[in-house]
Amino acid sequence: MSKKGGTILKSQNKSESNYDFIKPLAERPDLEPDGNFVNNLRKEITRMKMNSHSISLPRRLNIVGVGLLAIFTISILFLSFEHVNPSEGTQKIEEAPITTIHQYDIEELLSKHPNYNAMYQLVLKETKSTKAAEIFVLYLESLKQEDINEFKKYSTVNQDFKIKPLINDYKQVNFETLAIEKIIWSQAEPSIEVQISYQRKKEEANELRSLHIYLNDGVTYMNVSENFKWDEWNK
Amino acid sequence: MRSESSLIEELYDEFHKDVYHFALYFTNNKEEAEDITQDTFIKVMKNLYQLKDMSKRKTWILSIAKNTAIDLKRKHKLIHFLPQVLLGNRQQAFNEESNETQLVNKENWSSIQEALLHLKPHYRTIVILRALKELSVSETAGILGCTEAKVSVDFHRAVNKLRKELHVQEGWDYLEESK
Repeated sequence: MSKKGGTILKSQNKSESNYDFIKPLAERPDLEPDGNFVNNLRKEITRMKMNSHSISLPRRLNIVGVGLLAIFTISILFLSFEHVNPSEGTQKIEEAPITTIHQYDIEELLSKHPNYNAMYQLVLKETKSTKAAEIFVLYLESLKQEDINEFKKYSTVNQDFKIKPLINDYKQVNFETLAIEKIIWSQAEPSIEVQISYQRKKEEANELRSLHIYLNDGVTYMNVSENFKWDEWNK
Repeated sequence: MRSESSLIEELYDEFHKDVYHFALYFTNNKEEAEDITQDTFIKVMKNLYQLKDMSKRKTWILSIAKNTAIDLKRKHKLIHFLPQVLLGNRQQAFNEESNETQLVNKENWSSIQEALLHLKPHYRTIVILRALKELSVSETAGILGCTEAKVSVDFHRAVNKLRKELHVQEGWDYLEESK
């Protein structure tokens, strides 16, 4: 090995093993989180977990399934003994939340709304992920239907006080004018920025906004976020 | 079998400091570190059913923290209506506050933190995980979703960039030292 090569190797070995100069940073004085913050967040997490809205999707579907089965069984039993008015049993089945699932039938949405379909195809073409394309459309549709619970399935935002102003803002949007202008891949992680254009109701001027689809959070789930002037709406 | 709610509390108790430390090193901003910690554990809670292997809980949570931190910084970049001057002042105010509380240690950590902020997010993450949180190459690779070889190479590069950054700022002559 040449003298120059040996020097470089020696230098590399030294720098690989010697990073002690960074260590003082581990002793920065304000490293520990504020006690109040830690306690409040712990309480908040416990409270949210107890709240039925925060139950994960698969578990929620299980609960809906068990609930439907129970209602169905009870209805059959009651009908067989003729102890109740048959219409009551029917009414119970109608109350089951399965109707919510039908409201977000992706195939139906794509066939009924050509602009949804166009955006779906563009996201699919760019990401090669049908799931990403689906959640993008469903994210928009949940805003259109002003459905906070459905919105939470697709968004990084899950606080009601933040979702409500966003929904109010989207109320003014003419959803039929939504279109993708540009898709930009992130350099930092598997996510894309989707720039969309739209018109507000009774207005002709085009507006733009950016939405981000996070394709993989290191743990396989995907969701959408967007920049929104929360402060302005909360004033 | 423990319930989901007790599991999330256990995970929070075990890792909230790691997440906060990572976020604070990444942003050098207490408020942003708290936001990242909060968002991370909300995501953990929402996706707890995806955590199949408890032995990987730390890398799973830190990977969420890493992505949450990158998301937050990127969102801040895109907020056009907030003048950069205000952001700069906010950061400066935080630094001044920190400096006032510990003037003695300023030279020991403040310059390194500032240099760390100048690294691109990927390098910054590797330095935080490997040098400051003392995670193994394997754990770091798991969090970053890359190979162990890439972690080693990028860590080496990140340390060198940090060294160069400090050399420029402080006049530390590492080249002389290595002769």
